[in-house]
Amino acid sequence: MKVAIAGAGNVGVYIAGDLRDAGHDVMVIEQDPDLVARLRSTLDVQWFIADACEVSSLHEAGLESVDVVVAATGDDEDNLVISLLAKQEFAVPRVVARVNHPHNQWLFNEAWGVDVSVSTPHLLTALVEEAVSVGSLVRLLQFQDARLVEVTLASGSPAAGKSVAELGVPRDATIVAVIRERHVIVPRGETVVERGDEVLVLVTPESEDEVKALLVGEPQPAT
Amino acid sequence: MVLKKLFKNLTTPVTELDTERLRKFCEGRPGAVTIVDLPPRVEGTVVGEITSLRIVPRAGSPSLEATITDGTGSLVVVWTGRRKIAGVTPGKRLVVSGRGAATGPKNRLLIFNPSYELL
Repeated sequence: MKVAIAGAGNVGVYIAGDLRDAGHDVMVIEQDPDLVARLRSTLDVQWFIADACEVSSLHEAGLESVDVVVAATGDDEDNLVISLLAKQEFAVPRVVARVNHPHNQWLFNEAWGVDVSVSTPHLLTALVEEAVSVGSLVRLLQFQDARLVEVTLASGSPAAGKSVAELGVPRDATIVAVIRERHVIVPRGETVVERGDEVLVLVTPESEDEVKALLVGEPQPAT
Repeated sequence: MVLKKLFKNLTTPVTELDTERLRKFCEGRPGAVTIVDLPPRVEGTVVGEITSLRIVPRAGSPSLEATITDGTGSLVVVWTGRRKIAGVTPGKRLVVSGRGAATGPKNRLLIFNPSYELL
């Protein structure tokens, strides 16, 4: 796959190295020539010295033949401009953008050409929540139209002891896996979920509340 | 010969005749390609007639989507942040230049904010 990464900061360079090792055709766009001169010897990818926020330089970089664009600069404005140009001018199929400041997360959506946004603080909160919370719905991953949520069933969960078929998961949601005692169980209709199970559900924003009601139940008073 | 043509005109369905006429109109433009021949992600110019207009919310802001056909195929032109554009109405013919992205399950060609010219 052909991947273009804008910004050769720590994040950009790391992604570039990782993707190159995975066998992808990687190009890094960075406007600082000194930085490129320093990194060129350590990282064997295609380098392109240009301002990634400029349509003409993106043209020269050949963005029209790229499959994925990663906007990984340390500046949210730049990342948004790069995403918008990649999507609207070059019709790049997949645009991934880094959110530096969590307050800007709401901007990183379809309107700006962003398919997937990655916000480190949000990711960290999700991981922390996942580790400490039992009996509440935790959002793990956000996709374009769906999100992956996780619930560790508490003793009071209305779902405990029911089979997947009995649960009656809404149409726009699906239980993708049940993790029990460090084993992954592929759920079938007759699979019974128990207290302490980690249930991973793929939901749409619309069906999320319904799934929450099914697996978590009514909101419990804080203890 | 004249009779044969008249017979053909009278027996062929109207929609087919319309498509034929539209195709002839669109083919005559210099520099333009037919929609079916426009590959995704390649910059090109097409001529077509607007068959439908929709206002679609995209992440909270409106965008105007026009389906354009030239008798060989169809594509969708999207103007972001607009509810209406003067002159862009169903039935209008226009020249559109831009780069299309194949989107959706049917891989429909979609062009964002192209340069266009009403005919």
